[in-house]
Parts: sequence; structure tokens; C-alpha cells
Amino acid sequence: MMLSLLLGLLIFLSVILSGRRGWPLLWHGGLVAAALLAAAHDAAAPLLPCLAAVVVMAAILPLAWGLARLEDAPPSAGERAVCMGGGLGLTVLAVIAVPQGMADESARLGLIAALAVILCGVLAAAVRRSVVGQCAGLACALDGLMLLAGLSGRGAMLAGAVVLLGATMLVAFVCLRRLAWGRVAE
Amino acid sequence: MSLPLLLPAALCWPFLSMAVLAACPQASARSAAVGLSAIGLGLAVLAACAGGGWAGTPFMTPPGVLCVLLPLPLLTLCLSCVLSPAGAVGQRGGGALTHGLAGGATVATACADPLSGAVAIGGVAVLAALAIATTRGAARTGWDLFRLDLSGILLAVPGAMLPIAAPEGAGRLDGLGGVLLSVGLGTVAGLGPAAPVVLAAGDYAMPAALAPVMASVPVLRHLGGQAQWDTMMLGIATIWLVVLPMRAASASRRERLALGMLVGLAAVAAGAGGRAGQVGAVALLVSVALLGPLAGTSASGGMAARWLRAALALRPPFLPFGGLVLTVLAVCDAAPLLVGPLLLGLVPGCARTGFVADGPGDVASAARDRPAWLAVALLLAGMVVLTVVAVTGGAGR
Repeated sequence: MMLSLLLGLLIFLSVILSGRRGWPLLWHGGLVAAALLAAAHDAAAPLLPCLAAVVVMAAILPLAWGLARLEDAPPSAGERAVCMGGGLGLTVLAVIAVPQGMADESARLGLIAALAVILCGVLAAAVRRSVVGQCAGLACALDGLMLLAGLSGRGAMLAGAVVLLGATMLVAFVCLRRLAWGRVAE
Repeated sequence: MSLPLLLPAALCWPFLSMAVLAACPQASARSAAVGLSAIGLGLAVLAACAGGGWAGTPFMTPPGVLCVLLPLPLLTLCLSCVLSPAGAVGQRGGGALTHGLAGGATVATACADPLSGAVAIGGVAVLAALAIATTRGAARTGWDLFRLDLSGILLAVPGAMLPIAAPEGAGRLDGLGGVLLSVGLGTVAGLGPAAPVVLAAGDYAMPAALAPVMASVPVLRHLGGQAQWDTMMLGIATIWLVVLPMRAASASRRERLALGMLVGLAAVAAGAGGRAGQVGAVALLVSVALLGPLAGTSASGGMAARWLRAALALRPPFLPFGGLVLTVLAVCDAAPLLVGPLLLGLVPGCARTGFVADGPGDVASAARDRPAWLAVALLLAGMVVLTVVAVTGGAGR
């Protein structure tokens, strides 16, 4: 019950907030971590979901702190409309694509939530003109990948997602401070 | 060395040589890179000939004619090492990174399932984007390439996982997974709308310039096989997107764009599927691997450079022409309606690639002459092999 509520909230947050300024990364990361911990509480093998939750928080906290220090241009009305409308459309597509006949209803909801979070994040990264918004979109999509890896219990995918998170933090540190921090010359 | 150790040796060697190069003194970096890459190429060719897999891992020599793809990243690496000027600044770091890229691409080609392949391709793509992002003055290009590659991987990994997650829910879920996998991996390889960004990034240092070639081999290995409309459409869109800016491009830039056209054509062949499509895709990828390090450097005089340009323009009697014929055959079989848009994009592309004013040869072109002749000879030999295979019925449907 708790897991379903958290996953529903996560889908809502991903769709509604994808076009907003700066993305509330901490809220998003916190919800993903809470959903993973709730899944670990119900799972027979709780190690991987717990590990995924820890990694999500360990990556999102410094990333949100760093992005808050950069200049972020507010999204235009067109960007907001495309992000929210497209996110809603992609979420409906995910709901249609994942069949109802799956063995476990919570597994279906988890798959839908992970797909919606990934697709909304990638859409925001493609649509937003501000590099801070793009990076926040990518971070949210990576959260979705961690959610997928944690819920499905795939260690290799979790390791791959951790590597991608690390690479994102490194590139954000190298590039974004040149692109969005006026005091540092490119 | 027993045969089961060949594949592990071929997959690990580029990473070992990367470590050796990183510790190698600057003066001997070039000769060490050439020697190490040649050994790696030899190991990969032997592993492809021997076949089999690496027990306990998802690595396996690609089946059938696709086994030719295994040594291709290392062939590109070896050629690029031979072509690189001696004593260049930053040669050690760039060379080590190129070895890592080639190793990652070989590992991704050897992955038996699309999920591990997508994860491995992600490593290659992120490494290439990192190489540009850390280049001074290329923050914007590096960030754009990284964003594109990461978005592609974020689509491809769930796409590869979906059919595994719910095998009983085939149909719609399989369809969504297939589309996500094709679009995601195609984005990483610079297919479709990603083509301009990836080709623009190719103007930077050597590891980044070779990244589209390195990434396209494993991507098309995993996308090929069955007839897939999305891969074919991505390939045709790529051809159109690279042919359109050719008119105003410089000679070297035009050669890079022509290389993108070959990758797009290989995607069409891989998407068309069937025996002809597979062989066509392999022939085009072999051509891309041979021409990749030489494209953009052959604009200055010389008979070999002229022949290489003819090969890039898909003219007979070189291997890309054979790939083109097989691709058209495969598309006629899988989706005849797509032959029109395909040829409509290819004809102006071939005409514009072939039209390059010959300039006088320079000292650097003389140094590149031997590898260029080798590439021409291999392209001709490949066409002979392709013809023999086709005559004996091997490339039929």
C-alpha cells in the first residue's frame, strides 16, 4: 500500500514538475529512495533496493547542492507545455504498454513508474534550454533507472546506473560550471 | 594458448595496453601504441575465427557472418595508431583513451544479449563524451554529446530489459522495448536526429573523432538480425541529414559526412534483416572501420586518396558498393516502399562526395600513403570475397 502510494506520487511529481524551474531534485530523489526502501521492506532480498536507495541519496544531495549554485534560466511557456504535455502522453503510453496480466500488480506499477520517470527526465533533458534544467532532467531519469534496477533486483544494471551517475556528476562538475557559472571562463 | 582463452585475451588486451600506454614514456608512445594495437587486432581476428564464448560471462563471439564485426574496432584503432604523427602533444593520454574506447567497443560487440550490450555501449559513449568535455574550449559540445549519449543509454537499457521483465506480456511491451532499444542505441551511434551532434563532435581530438565509428559497430550488431522498421527509418533519416549539409561543406568535412552516410546505410541494411541485409551491413561496417581513420585526411592529392574518395562515394569496384547493392536487395525484400527515399538521399550524397578538387600532395599525405594503399587493397579484397560469397549463394536471402 505504501509502495503504491509512493510510486503514484513519484509519477505525479515527474509529470507535473518536469517543466518547472530547477526541478525539485531533493524531493524527487527522496521519493525514489523512499519507494526503494518500501520495496525492500516487502522484498525477500532487500539488499539491492536498499543499496539503490543509498546511492540515489548519495548522488542527488551533492548534485542538487551544485546545481543550486549555477545560473538557471526559467523555462519558457512553450518548454513547460511540451514537458508537461509530453510527460503526460509518455506516462499514458507506459500505462498502455505494460500489460495488466502481469503476475504482481505492484511490479506492474513499479515498471510503469520507472518508465514514466525515465521518459519524463529524458524529455526534459531534450526540451529544456537551460543546462541546469537539462542536468536535472538527466539526474531524474537516472533516478528512474536506479528505481528500475532496485525493483527488478538486477545487480549489473545497478552497477551500470552507479557508473552513469558518477559520470554525470563528473561531467556536470567539468562542463556546467563553465557554461552556467559566469565567473569561471570557458 | 588454448582456444577458450582467445576471447578473454582479445577482450582484455586493449585495456591492458591502455594501462601500458598510460605508463609509457612520451618518446616511445607511438611505436608502443602501434605494436600493442596490432597484437590486439591479431588476437581479435583469431578469436573471431575460433568462435565460442567466455564461460560464466555474457561474452560470446557473434554468430555467423556477424563474427567479422568483433575485430573491427581494433582494426580502426590499429589504423589510427599507424596514421598518428610521431611526437604529437598529448599523444600518450589520447592514445590510451582510444585504446579504452576500442576495448569497450569490442566488449560491447561480444555481448550476447542486448541488455549487457547496451550497458557496455553506454560505457563507450560516456568515455567518448568525457574525452570532449575535458577538452579546453569544448564544454558546450562535450555537454551536448554527453546529454545525447546518456539520453540514448537511458532509453536503451529499459528497452532491452522490458522483454526480460515481463516475458508473458509480449506484444505491446516487446514493441515498446524494441522501439526504445532502437531509438536509444541509434542515438548513441549518431543515427537519425543525433547525427549532426555526433558528427560535429568528431571535429575534435582523435578519440572523439573515432567514437562514431567505434559506437556504430556494437550498436548495429545488436540492432541487426530481424526486419525492423524503426532501424531502417533511422538509417534513412541519417542519410538525409548528412547529405543535406554536404553542398556547403569543405572537402574534409564532406568526407566525414560521407562516413556518416555509410553508417546510415549500414543501419538500413541491419534493419532490413535477412541474409543479404546482414552481409550488407557487415560489408559497410568493415568499410567504415577502414575509412574512418582516413576520412578527412585524404583531401590532398595522391592516387590512393582518390581511390579512397571513390570508395566513400559508393563507387565500384570497392567494398562499400557491394554493401550498397546488398542493402538495396534487402530493402526491396523487406520494405520495397523505402527504396525510393533511400536512393533519393544516396544519389546526391554520392555525387557530392565524389566531387572534390584535387590539391597538391603534402609531406603529411606522403606519410599517410602506405596505410591508404593498404585500406584500398583491403576494400578491393573485401569486394572480391563478397562477390565469391554471393556467387556461391552465401549472401542470398
